[in-house]
Amino acid sequence: METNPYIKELAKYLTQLTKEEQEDVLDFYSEYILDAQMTSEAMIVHKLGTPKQLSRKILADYSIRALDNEEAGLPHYEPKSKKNIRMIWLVILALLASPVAIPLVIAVIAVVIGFFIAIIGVLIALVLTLLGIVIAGLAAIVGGITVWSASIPTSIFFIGVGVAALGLMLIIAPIGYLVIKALIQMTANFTQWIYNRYIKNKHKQKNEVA
Amino acid sequence: MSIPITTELLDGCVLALLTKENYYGYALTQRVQEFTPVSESTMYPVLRRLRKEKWLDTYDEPYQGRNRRYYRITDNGRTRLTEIQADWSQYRDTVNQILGGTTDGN
Repeated sequence: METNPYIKELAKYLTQLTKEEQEDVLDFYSEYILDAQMTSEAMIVHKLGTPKQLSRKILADYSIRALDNEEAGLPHYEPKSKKNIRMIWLVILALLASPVAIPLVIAVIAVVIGFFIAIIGVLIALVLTLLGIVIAGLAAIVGGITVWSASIPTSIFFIGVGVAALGLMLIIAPIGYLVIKALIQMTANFTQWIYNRYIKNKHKQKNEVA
Repeated sequence: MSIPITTELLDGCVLALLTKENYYGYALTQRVQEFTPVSESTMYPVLRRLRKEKWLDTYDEPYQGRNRRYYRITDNGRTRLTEIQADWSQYRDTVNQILGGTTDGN
């Protein structure tokens, strides 16, 4: 059965699924192709899309399902934001592979890229702010120690300011981390919404015409 | 028919078809396409999900020197089908009232 070049090519794009999942997908489609008596590659592509297009739909579907399962409280094996980023990427690929109007694809990608730039911007701002606070704090502590012999109250004041700055940093860091995570989550939700709204529906509409 | 089918309704229709006979992938897709325009690549995820939920199971049967995978509804699947039928008939009655359609089914 795996002699079909279409199935062979499809298999190449599914390597990130488990062996069992891959087998299940490939069995289903090789059986489908035989039963539908699609004898030529052109017929298969007409019905199922190119192997690459089909694989993107399959992967996007697996990815979104995995995310749903996670929300349902099932165990997961990788950090959620990493999974989200992968899902966003797969949905962009699925959009590119689907016959949605090109302007829409561009708009969606622009929005997603916009979110990413926002995330990176927040990240850079946060890192620089923290760095600034740390340097200022350390400088205050060092300065405080050097004036110890001249004036003990001044020295204690500076050391106190320095320690407070370091403490402040410890408070800001987790908040920044949460903000970045929330931004990634928002992008993921938006992408998933786009997937449900356009890829699934577009597909049905297209078929209707055919 | 220009009204797209929802996931729940599609689940229900697939389960309902399977109460009458066991189908293999291609035949089932053909049956579903008779009443709603689902694409060839939509059915696999649907069947996979239904099996994962244990609403249907599969068995292989040899056919012309290869295997065909048949889908069969489970008891859980029948329970789920009853739920979907109840949801649907409630929804249908409400929409009929608003659209000013027929009042049959009562």
